[in-house]
Amino acid sequence: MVYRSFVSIFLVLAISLLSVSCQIKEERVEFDVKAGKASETLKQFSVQAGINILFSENDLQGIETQKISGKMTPEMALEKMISDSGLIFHHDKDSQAIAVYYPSRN
Amino acid sequence: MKNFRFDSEAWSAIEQAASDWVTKVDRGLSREEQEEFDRWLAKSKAHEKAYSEQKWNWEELDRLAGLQTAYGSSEDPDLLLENRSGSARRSWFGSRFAMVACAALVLGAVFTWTGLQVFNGNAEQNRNENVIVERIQTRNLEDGSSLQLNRGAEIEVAYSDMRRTVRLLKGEVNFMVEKDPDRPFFVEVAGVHLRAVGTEFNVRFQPHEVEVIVTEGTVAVQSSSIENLGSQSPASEAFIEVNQRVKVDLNSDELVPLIESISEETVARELIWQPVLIDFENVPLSEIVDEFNRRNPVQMVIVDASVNEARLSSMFWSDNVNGLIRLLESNFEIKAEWGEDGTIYLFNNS
Repeated sequence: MVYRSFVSIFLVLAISLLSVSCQIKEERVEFDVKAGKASETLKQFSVQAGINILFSENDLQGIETQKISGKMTPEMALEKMISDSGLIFHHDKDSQAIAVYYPSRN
Repeated sequence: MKNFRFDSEAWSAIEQAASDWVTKVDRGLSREEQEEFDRWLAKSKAHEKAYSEQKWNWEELDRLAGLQTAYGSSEDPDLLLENRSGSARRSWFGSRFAMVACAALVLGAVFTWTGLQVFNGNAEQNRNENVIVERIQTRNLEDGSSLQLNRGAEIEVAYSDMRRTVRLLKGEVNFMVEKDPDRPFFVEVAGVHLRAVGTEFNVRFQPHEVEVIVTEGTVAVQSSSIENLGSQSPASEAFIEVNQRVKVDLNSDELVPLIESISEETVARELIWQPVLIDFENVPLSEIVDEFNRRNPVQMVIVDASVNEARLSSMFWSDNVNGLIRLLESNFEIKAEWGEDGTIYLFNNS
């Protein structure tokens, strides 16, 4: 009986672990976005990543993003795009949506 | 819904037959059984009703049986008997198991929650966890057909070598059917049978009627026995084409399909629940809210006009209400509160 109890608990924990690891692991996606105006390139990123995106036009005024190319996770791609721009992002993984913003302007 | 004359003996027999079919479907049907099952189901609305009920009961029992099997590695052939031998012993056994299972589930849930907090460290602080607005589900079937299930829809898929059948048990589904001349595609809903001749159509099952709108190709509709559907008696079928709608009144005795032509605007309005990727460019929040309100049953209301001062851009799926709310709350100084009727009120939180 005790053995079976441990087996049951072990199985549930194993399933939970698997569930957590699946949520952590992000799928790598093929990206190809040229450098350019952030308000345009971020939408291209959104379509290619299959992730919803929201930003304030005011935050992105005059900001350009870096080129991205190749297979990578959406977070890696976005970090690369906005590096040195002062922009940061918040990824809500539950709803597959990303907000990009300029912290000092908020 | 159509009323059935109550005959307890006849109903018991139907229930027994329905129960037998649920058991057989659960273990998998042969081609002959599948066809026999389709005929039995199509014979009477009472059969469909009894089958749905028995299936629901079975799913409840099946879950328990699954737990027991996982634990004891032995099936219980007497599980469905009313007077089971050894029930006291199994009751004790079951309760011990239930306690262990509950403890394990709680531990698992805690672990999962904790894990997510650890690995998702930048999760927003002020997220409102009270309400989750369900997203539209897409289900891709083995033959390449794709179904979009509106919120609350339930289906049952029964594919055999001869035919592909989807039973709509509840709600609304949009069908994009992959053509296969060797395996016709059927939809069964409350005694109404559809055969997809073309590829895309929408079926809505309401308590009083079934409504079908065709957006590509042709759909054959019949509201009696499924054996007559197809080439055996084509004259008995009604064909609906693009920009046509058929309604079948489930309260009528004959279940006659009524066909009408509708405008493209009406089609678009009826199918607005289907998710689309919306591109907003430099708009006030009110414009985004209006578009989401048009496309979702959940409504948002801007309480503080000042939240409209920010100009926003986005690429957002129209059914991702939760995503929009969470981002607004975590990064755009907006506070969302849910009313009792599910309305979402948006306040300035700066």
